[in-house]
Amino acid sequence: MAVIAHTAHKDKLAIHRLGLWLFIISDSFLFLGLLFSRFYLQGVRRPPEINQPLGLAISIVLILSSLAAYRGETAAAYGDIKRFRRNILLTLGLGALFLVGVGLEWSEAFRSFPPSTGYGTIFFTLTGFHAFHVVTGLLALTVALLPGQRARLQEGNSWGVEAVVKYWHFVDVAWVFIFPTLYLVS
Amino acid sequence: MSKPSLAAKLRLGFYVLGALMVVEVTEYVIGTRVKRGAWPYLAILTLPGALPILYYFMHIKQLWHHEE
Amino acid sequence: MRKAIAVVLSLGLVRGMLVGMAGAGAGMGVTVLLRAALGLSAWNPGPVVAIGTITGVLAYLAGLGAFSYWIRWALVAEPSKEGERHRYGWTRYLCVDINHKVIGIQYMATSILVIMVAGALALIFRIELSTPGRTIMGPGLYNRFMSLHGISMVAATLIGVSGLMNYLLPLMIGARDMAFPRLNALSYWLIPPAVVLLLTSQAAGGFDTGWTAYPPLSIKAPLGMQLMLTAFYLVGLSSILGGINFLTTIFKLRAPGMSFFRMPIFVWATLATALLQIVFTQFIGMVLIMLLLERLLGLGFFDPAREGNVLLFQHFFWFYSHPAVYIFVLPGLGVISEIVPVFSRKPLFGYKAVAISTLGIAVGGTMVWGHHMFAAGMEPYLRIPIMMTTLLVAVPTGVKIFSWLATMWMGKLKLDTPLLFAMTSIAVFLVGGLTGIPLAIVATDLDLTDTYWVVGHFHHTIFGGFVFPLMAAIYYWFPKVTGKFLNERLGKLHWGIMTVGFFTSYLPYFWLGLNGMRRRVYDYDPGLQPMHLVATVGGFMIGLGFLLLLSNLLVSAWRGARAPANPWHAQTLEWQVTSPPPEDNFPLPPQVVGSPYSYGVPGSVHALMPPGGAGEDGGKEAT
Repeated sequence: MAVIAHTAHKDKLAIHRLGLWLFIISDSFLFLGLLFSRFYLQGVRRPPEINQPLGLAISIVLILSSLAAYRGETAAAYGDIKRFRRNILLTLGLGALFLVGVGLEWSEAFRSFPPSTGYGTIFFTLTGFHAFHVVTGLLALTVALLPGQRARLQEGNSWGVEAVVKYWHFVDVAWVFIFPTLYLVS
Repeated sequence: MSKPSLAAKLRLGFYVLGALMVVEVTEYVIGTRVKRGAWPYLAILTLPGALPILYYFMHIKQLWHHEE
Repeated sequence: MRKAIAVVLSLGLVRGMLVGMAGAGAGMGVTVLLRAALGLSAWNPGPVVAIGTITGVLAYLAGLGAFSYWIRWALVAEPSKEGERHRYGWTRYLCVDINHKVIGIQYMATSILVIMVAGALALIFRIELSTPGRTIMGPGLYNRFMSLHGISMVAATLIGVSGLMNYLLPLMIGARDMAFPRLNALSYWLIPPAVVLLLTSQAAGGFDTGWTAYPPLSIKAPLGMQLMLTAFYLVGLSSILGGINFLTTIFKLRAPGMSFFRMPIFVWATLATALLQIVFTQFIGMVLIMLLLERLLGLGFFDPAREGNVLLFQHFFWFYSHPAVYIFVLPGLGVISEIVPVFSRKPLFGYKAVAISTLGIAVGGTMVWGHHMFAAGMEPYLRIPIMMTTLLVAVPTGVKIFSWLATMWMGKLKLDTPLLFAMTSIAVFLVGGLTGIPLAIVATDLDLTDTYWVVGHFHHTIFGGFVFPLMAAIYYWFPKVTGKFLNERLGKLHWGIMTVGFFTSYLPYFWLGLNGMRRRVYDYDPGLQPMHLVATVGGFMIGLGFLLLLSNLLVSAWRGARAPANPWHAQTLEWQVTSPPPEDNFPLPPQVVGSPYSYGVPGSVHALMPPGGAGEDGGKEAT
C-alpha cells in the first residue's frame, strides 16, 4: 500500500512539474514578444540618460535573490526548515529591494524619457511587465511560508517551495535578457 | 547514484552565482565602453547568463530526464 | 418560494455574478474617490472602468469559489475537497465543478449560446445588406453589429473547441480526469465574465473596428472597445490555461499501452491545438494589453508621431490570429477523422501520416501570419517567403482530405447524420482551402484582399473546420454524453437545410468579391444586390438549421430513445464505458493493445477493458 501511495506521489510530482514548465515556457513567449517590440520600434537605440550603474545594481540584487531562493529550495528538499525560512525571507527582502530599485529608475526615467515618448513606451512596458512578475513572485514566495506549506514540508513534500522558486528563477532569467536589451545595447 | 550532500549543493549555488556575476559585469563593461555595435556581443552573452540559471537553479533537465 | 431563492443563491454562477458586480462597483468607486483626492477629474471612464473590471473579475472568481481550494491549500497541509464532487443534477452545471465532463458540457452550452447570439447579429446585418443603402439600420449600428458578430464568433469557436477537447480527451486516452481539474474549472469560469463584458460593451458605445481591432481606429473607438479588449484577454487566458492542462494530460495520463501512435487522431489534434494555444495566445494577450496601455496611459506603441508603428500591432495580431484559425479547425478535423472510419467500417487511411500532418499544420501554420498583411505595407522581403510557407500548409491539409476520401472509398458507408455532416465538412473545407490559394499568392491577393472573397474563404474554412464538424460531433457523441439518441429524421433535415443554406449563403461571396464588393462595408453598388439577397436567404437557412438543432437537442434530451454504451460500434475508449460515462470514467485503467481504427479487421481490438465495465469486449470487431 505504501508503495502504491509512493508511486502516486511521484506521478503527481512529475505532472505538477510538467504543468509548471509549460506555464513558464508559455510565459516566456510574452517576454519574447516584448523584446521583439523593442527592436522593432527602436532598433538598438538607447537614450544617453539611462542610469546604467543602477541597472547593474538591481541586476545583481535580483541574481543574489535567485541564489537565496536556490538555497532555500535546496534546504527545503533536505528537510532543513530553519535554513529554508531564513533564505526565503532573504529572497523576499532582495526582491523588494529590486522593486525599490525599479521605482528609483522609474522616477528618473519619468523626467528624461516619460512613457509617452518612443523609448519611454518600451522602457516602461518592459520593466512594468517584469515588475508585475516580480510582485506575483513575491506573493507566491509568501504563500510558501504559510502554514500549509510548512506542514507539507514536515511530511517531506517540498513541491510547493520548488514551484514558487522555479517561478522566481524564471523572473530572473527574463531579467537577464531585459537588462542588456534596455540598458546596454548600442 | 548517491544523493549529493546539502553542503555540496549549497556550494554549487555559490559557483553559479560567481559565474553569473562575471557575465553581468562583462556585459556591463561592454555596454558602457563599446560605443557602437555592442549588441551582438551582448546577445551572445545572454546565453551564459541564462543557461546556468536554467540548468542549475531550475533543473531544466526534469523536462526530458526523470531522476529518482 | 424561499426554497427556490435559496437554491438560486447556492449556485456558484449567481453568487459569482452578484459578488463580481459588487466588486466592480467597489473598484470603480474607490478609483473615483482616489482620482478626486489626487485632484484629477473624478470621472474618467477609461481608467475607472479598467480598475472596476479587474476588481470585478477577481471578486466574481472569489465569490464563485474558484479559489477556495487553493486558499485552503495555502493554509493547511491537507486541504479538504468539500463541495467539489458531491453535487448531482442540473445545479452542478452552474457551479464550480472539477469533473472534466461537466466542464466540457459547460463549455459547449456557453459556446452554442454565444453562437446563437452572434448568429442572430449576423442575420440582422444580412437583412441590412440585402438592399443597397439603408434597409433597417444606419451605418454606425451596422459597424457595431458586424464587429460584435466577428469577435463573438471567434470567442464562441475558442470556447467550443475547448469544450470538445475537455469532454473527449480524458475519455479517449483512458484517464480519469484532466491533469489539473481545478485549473480546468478556472479556465472555464473565466469565460462567463468575458461574455458579459462583450455584451455590456454595446451599452458602452460598442466598437466599430471589425474583429481585428486595428489601431489607430481601436485607439479612438468608444469605451466599448476597452471592454471588448478585456473580454478577449480573459478568453485568451482561459485558452492558455486550458492548453497547459491538455498537454500535461496527454503527456502524463495516457492509459497503459497507449503509445503516441495508438492515440486517436482527435488526441493528436488536441496536442497540436494545445501547443498553439500556449505559445501564441501570449502574443495576443500582450498586444491587447499594449492597446489598453496606449488607450489608458497614453503610451505610444502604435502612434507614428511617437516612433510607434501600426504594423507592430498587425504583426503580433496575426502572429496569434493565424495560428488561432488552426486552433479553431484542428479539433474539428480531428472529429472528422474520428467519424469517417466508424461509419465507413474501414481503418483510417494512412493513420501515421494523418497524425503527423496534424502537427505539420500546426508547425507550418506558425510561419504564415504575414499573408494577412501583403497589402498592409509589410516589410517587402517577407512577402515571397510567406507566400511559400502559406502554400506549403496545403500539403498536410491535403494529406487529411485524401485520407478521409481513401477511408470512405469502397467502405460500407452508413449514412447516419454524423457521417453526413462530416462529408459536408470535407466538401466545405475543400472549397475553403482552394479559395485560399489566390489569397496566398501575393499577386492575386493584392486584388482580392479585403473583399468578400476573403470573407467567403474564411467562412468556408471555419464552417468546414469547426461548425459542421461540431454538428457531426454533437450527433456522434450526444448518445455518449446523455445516454439518449438525437432524433435521426430531424437530424437529416437539419443537415440538409444547413448544407444547402451554407452554400446558398457563401458561394455568392466569391462572386461578390471578384466583382469588387469590399468587406465590412455598409453600402454597395445596386448591381451587386441579387447576390447579396441570395446570401441573406442562405443565411436564414443556416439560422433555421440551428433552430432545428436546438429543438432536437432539447426534445431528445427529454424523450429521446435510449442509447446503449456503444451504438456506433466504435473502437475508441470513450465508447467502452457506459452512456453517460461513469463519474470517474474508468474505475480501473484500460489496457490499450492496438490501433484505435481497425474497423473491419476481424478480431481487432483497441483496448482490453477491466472486467465489470459496460463494453467488456472493448469494441472488438466481429470475427
